[in-house]
Amino acid sequence: MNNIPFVNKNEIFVIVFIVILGILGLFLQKNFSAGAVAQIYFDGKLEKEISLSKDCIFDIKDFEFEIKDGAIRVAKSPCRNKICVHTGFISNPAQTIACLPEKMLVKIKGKEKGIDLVVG
Amino acid sequence: MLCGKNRTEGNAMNIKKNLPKLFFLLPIALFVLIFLRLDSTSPKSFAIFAMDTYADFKIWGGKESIQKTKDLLSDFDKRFSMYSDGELSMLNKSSGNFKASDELFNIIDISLKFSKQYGNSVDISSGALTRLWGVSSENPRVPSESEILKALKTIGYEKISLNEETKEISLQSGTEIDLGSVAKGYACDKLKEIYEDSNVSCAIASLGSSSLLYGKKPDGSEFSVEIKNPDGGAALGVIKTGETFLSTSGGYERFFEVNGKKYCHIFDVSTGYPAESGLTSVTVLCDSGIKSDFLSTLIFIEGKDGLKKHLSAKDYSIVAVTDDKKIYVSPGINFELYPENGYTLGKTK
Repeated sequence: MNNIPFVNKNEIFVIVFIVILGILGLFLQKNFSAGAVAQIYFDGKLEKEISLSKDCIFDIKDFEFEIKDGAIRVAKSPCRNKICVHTGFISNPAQTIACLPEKMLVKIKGKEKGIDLVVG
Repeated sequence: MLCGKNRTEGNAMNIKKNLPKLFFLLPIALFVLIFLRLDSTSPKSFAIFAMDTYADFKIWGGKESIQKTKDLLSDFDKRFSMYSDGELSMLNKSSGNFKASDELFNIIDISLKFSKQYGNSVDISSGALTRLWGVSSENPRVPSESEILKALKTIGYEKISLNEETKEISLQSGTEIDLGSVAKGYACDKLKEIYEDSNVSCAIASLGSSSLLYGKKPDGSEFSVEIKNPDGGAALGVIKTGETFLSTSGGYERFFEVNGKKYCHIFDVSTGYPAESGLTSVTVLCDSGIKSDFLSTLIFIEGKDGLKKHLSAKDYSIVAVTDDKKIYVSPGINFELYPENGYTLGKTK
């Protein structure tokens, strides 16, 4: 090993150690991240980030949101077509609630459940 | 344990001795880490409001495809809307021959062919009816019987004439075109062309009711698509699929209510009223976006009674959900039911 200029055996250990630590870190980050969080955007701007682990009801602008059993829904909306209200509860990062007339969007951030798309 | 400790101490001493060397080695190690994190397995995600929906994208590779995706959607948003001042609106207001763009001509041409081939429950000439009810507009309302009869008289594919050579379209007086049942699917077809041309390895493009699952995921696994529960709550089940287009029609999100009665946005052109056919959601998978979009609407309108022939179709597959909590799935689909919702798999006789 010592024949290699500039690097000796112990330094290789250090490098390998750091790389393994890093990979472990990435792995932990992916699998043991905190519970899901809802992000609420208005006109593309993040207005509120809230954990889905505690049930609650809250207002932003003229919207009323409800968090229950780890899922979030729009309970009341000032919009004309109420599509956002009809969407109901969402809990999966592949799902969103969108209100086009009011440019409001709810996204879920959290552990990926391996679902690429939700339709219907 | 002791051995491990000694080794660590040995390393620590070495680090002290060779601190300058470490300054060179640490960046190398960091580089390896960054490389691992930012390799080709991380997609670009973005979203836009367009075509009356929230469009959500995840694209692996092919950087230039992102801007092209956005440009296409904002173009189609204007071009195919009944309510903007784009090309379709101009056609609807026109009298006599209207010189159309290739895109508009194509989408109308294909839709009319589908109506002839698969059934005219879906008819893009139904714009006057859509406008009359205004389900997606500011002021939806239940029209009178005579208004509906008048609108129905403007509907029929024979009321649209196309000139293949000159790309001219002419509409009979009063007839309006509504591309709501095909435009998003057609956009998915065009997105696929973009991704093929720009070296995208995988893409998940969702335009709300129509989606494109393109290429192969970096880990080689199939795409997982959950079917929403029309009653709300947990999903009904999951489809595993390779590359495909898929479209869903359902009446439970886009509707309006008068005196406790729900009127959905999908119209049966044989009655002039919103479709009520015993189905709550229909998802169609096939190798064409516009076809999946057209067929999901058609099957939704035809309803429970028409399911049998669609379940055995060769060129597309379906997942249909009925209002009595049954799910009908084409034999070719890999569908796993989540049992906790009380839905069961249905069988056609």
